[in-house]
Amino acid sequence: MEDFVHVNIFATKGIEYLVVIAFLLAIIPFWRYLNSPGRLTASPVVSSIQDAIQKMVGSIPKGVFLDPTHSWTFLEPSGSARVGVDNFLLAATGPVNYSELRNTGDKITRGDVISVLEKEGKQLKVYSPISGTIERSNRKASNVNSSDSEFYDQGWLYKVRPTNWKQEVGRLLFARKAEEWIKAEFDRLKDFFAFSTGKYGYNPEMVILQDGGALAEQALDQFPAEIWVEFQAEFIDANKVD
Amino acid sequence: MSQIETVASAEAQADSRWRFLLSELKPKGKIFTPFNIVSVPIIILGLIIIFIRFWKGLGAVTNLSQTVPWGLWIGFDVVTGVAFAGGAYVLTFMVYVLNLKKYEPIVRVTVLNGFLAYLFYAGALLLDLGRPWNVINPIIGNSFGTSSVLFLVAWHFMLYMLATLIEFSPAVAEWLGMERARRILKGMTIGAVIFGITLSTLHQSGLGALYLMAVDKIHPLWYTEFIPILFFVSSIFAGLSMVIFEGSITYRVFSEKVSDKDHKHHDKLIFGMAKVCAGAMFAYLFLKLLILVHEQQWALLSTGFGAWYLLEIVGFVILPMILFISSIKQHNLVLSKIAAVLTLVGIILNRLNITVIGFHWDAAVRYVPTWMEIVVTLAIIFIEIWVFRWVILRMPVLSKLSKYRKPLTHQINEAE
Repeated sequence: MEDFVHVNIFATKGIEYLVVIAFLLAIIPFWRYLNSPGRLTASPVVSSIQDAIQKMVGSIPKGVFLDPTHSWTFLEPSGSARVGVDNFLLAATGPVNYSELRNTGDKITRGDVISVLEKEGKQLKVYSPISGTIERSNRKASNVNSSDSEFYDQGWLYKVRPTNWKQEVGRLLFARKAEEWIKAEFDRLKDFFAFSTGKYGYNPEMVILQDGGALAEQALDQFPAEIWVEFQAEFIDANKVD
Repeated sequence: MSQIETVASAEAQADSRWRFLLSELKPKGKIFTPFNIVSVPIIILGLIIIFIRFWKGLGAVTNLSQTVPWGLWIGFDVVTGVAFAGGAYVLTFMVYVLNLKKYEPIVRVTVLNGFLAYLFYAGALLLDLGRPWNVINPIIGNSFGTSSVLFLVAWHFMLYMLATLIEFSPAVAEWLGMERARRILKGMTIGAVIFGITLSTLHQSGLGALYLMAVDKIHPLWYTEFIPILFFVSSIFAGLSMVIFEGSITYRVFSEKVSDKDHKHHDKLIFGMAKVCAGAMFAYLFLKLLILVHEQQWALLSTGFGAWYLLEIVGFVILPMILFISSIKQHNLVLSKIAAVLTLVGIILNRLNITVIGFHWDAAVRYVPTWMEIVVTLAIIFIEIWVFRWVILRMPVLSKLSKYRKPLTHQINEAE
């Protein structure tokens, strides 16, 4: 026993080392917990915002011009332009019915209401991205899903003979700018839902995290009419450029 | 344009600038608001007491003595005020160094707050100096005093005020419609920011280092050679809590200056800052624990001061940290704001425990500030808020960043 040396853990600062090790071990789970999604987003139907953006952005074909009021147009080789509602709007609302469609031969000006999206009494007005004369309308547009690969081929609302294409197309977004804009709109949508839920005390199953969380597809579907009215003002009317 | 015309137009511009400045001096908004009714008498009383202090000396208005030369004015105004102003360096670090651009809309208001806090609270240092005129010595080299921590603090305060002034100056140039000056000042911002952050990390801890020499005077539960590190780490969550607290009030009081979009954006930023606060508090708690173990002072925890120490740690560090975390998890803004207020109270407690409450804790006659010291402290806070309000109502601080102002003449016409 003569060789035995009593080690005083305080004198050797053993506990201090243990505290430091405990801190290093605790900081990782702490930070992971802090950054994990809140319990409100635990719904299995919630898909990640990144996936949704990827799907949208990847699906904008070349030659499609987006209007900031969430309509689109594409000039066909024949000189007619397809006009429709963009899939951001349709992803937010889910399947809708188009009402108040214009008739063939009607003259429309950029910014005119060309249709109303309807769902269980809730409505959104859609504006025309270009001016011209309506040559055809597509009554089957509501059958086309926003995530369909042929959305821009089949999901158009009108074929229009444009009267002021060159000037008006300059106000529309395309290619990289359109993609960046769509991403920004998704971020805005997350804020919008988070704020609206608080404002109306409404708590749907699928909600969105304010900071880095996930967004449910067809999220607008679950919200009451007041939020549709605000959505119209924030995402469609506020984006109108004459 | 001929030379005469150039001179004439320059004179006209200078004249219109003067007219504009004079028009801006006029009060805007209601005069008899509850805040004004409360603050004006206190400011007047405070100024009278400051006048008496300089006329008759420190002894006439304070309870300071040879044994307690630093009281409330240093403990609260300087030491606590500077911790609260820490938001400016944390936020500029997040925006300009980490490139977290989403915090950019609140940088200007935070930097303004930081600058004013240093100007007023560090300016309050002058009140506490027995011979205030000697304050110039470390600068002019009459006696640099390089072996003192005060040398570092003096230079840092001065340089940091300059750095925050440069960071904020593009807003002043926009206000005055001086486009060229704005561009030059804007170009200097990033340099000033990095300089400012470096200075801050050093003087936040430097303030703590000032108390290292008071080894036998501060209660052992608060005295440690790691005070500088604790001051620095706590300034991160103190500063951000101040940004959350002050931002919530500013966005409410000056609601008309802020767009609906910015209101929503601000709420989102609060959760981001709450997360940083929670992380910094977590590290701070471990540091406190480590220091408690290191100093081997746990026997003191069962005394009255021990209970006071535990209250500071449990009630004003652990509790707000939990509240910050819950607010993030539940998306509850109110919880974040409550946590921010508790944190601020905790910082006041901590700084006062070191500088006033735990200072000479075993003395037979304890220092208790006079009512006049408290009035002067309140007066300084109110004057700072008055200046802050004056700036907010006139300069592009809360409104959109890059929106350029109309020509001066338009503004004069509008003002008239």
